[in-house]
Amino acid sequence: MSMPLEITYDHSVELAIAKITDLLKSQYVLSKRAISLLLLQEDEDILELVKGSEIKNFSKIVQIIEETKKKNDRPLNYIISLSRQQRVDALANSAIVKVEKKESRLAESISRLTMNPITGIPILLLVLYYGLYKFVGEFGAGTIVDFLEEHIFGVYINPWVNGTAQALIPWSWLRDLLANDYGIITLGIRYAVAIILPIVGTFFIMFSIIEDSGYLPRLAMLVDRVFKKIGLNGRAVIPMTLGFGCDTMATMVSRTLETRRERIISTLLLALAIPCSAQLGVILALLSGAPGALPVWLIFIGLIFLLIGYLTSKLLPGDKPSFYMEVPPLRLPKLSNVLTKTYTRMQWYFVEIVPLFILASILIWFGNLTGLFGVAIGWMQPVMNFIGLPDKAAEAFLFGFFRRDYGAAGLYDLQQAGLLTSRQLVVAAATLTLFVPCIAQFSMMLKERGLKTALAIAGFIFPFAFIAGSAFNWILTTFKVLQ
Amino acid sequence: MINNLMPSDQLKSRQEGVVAELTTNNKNTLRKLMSMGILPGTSLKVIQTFPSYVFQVGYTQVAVDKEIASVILVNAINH
Repeated sequence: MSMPLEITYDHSVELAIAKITDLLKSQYVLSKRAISLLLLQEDEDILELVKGSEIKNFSKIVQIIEETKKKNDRPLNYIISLSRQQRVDALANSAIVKVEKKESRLAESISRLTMNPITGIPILLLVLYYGLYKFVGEFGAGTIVDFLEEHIFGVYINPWVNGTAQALIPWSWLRDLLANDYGIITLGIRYAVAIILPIVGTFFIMFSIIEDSGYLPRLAMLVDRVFKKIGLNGRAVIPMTLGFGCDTMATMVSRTLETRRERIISTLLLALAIPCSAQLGVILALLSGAPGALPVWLIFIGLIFLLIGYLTSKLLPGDKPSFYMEVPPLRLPKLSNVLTKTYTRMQWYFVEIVPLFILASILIWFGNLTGLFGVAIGWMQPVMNFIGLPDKAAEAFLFGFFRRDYGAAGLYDLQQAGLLTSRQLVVAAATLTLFVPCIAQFSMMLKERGLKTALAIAGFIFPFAFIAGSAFNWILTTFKVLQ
Repeated sequence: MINNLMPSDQLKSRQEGVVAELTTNNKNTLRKLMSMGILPGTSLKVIQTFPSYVFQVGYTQVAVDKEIASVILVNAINH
């Protein structure tokens, strides 16, 4: 059984409630007292509702609200909350018996260790090393990708599809659409299932575990000071970390940030300097062959992230970010929750992304068939030489338009063929990381940030990626790093 | 035991007190503090002060930056 909790508010508030209640003539789902209280707290939805239903009396109601605001030196919202808090405290004190408990000492100690920078930063590095590098990088992008790519597709599926197409389809244009180098099955489905699925899957498993353990708010608290320098607050660590899984999903999640300024900065940084897991997996595999290449790439991308974030926060007008967050207790993630979350995210990813893979395969097929790609690759070659890469890399960059990881995977093929030096490899990987967001991410930017902002971001990134790549190449050549 | 009023960003680690007032009329800041249950009368204990402030407030822990911590006026208990 329930009964309403009667609260008597401050005298001026009660007076206003009585006056407004008299003026409310229409019928509402809530009681007139509740409507009056919401009006005094200037609830936008209720103001809109009453403006429509009390056409005659609305201006009188607004006048009462303004008078009551003038009588109090603090916002009415605050005064009303205070009275409620007092009532709730009194009620809670009469009903709750507090028992001193010792059981959560261990969780509390670990919690303190994760929040103290001296121990928290090494813990963060351990999480990144084992979670991202070992589990996603080596296991997901290495072991599983090798197995699916080389054994399942390389030995069984692709030869069978190519053979069947050769035997049954008399037209070469249709054969090429389904099979061979750029076919829907042999390229589109192969990339989606053998490269992207294991990488994104292992990333989402790791992210769900970290999310469920309650670690993210602690991470947000640790990085808040650094993030303030780039115009964001610690809370933005959530979309940023998710970006390492899928930038498209992260761009959508950035709508949870408080101000428009923070949303624009995070969208730009996600598009520019956060490689998604598919791209990251291929880049890790690509760079692990050349000693020293990975740290050089990491430092360069890290510096670009901070530099562009800092400059954007100086240029964009708007309120300074502020940070506040509840820190939930640390807990052991539940397997069933982790699996459900991973499954839901994978499902979203597949529904959103696989059609785009197939579309990209078709566009590449169409480009090749009509010779448009040959022309475009011809245009790209001087740009490749500008950042110190061979002509052949143009193909990988062109594919990068369609999918960022297509581009990275294309470089992988070049490296396998021994066509790139360590320096070229790092410059190519860095430029591709900065280079355009994939089609899916760009369409999400359009949807979330609007046409003008999305075009402005893309218009900045396109030339900037190549200028930064060229500067990077110049630095590495001049200081004889990675020759 | 002497009681004294000070903003929460000037408290030391492990210091305790009771929230006395929220010294801002910025509706956004007030809303944020209230949503985390920080209101006059609630007990507050400092867990750490760097790189952000972490407080135990009632039964929950909250992390805030210096700007927000500076508007929470606390009646501090000196041990």
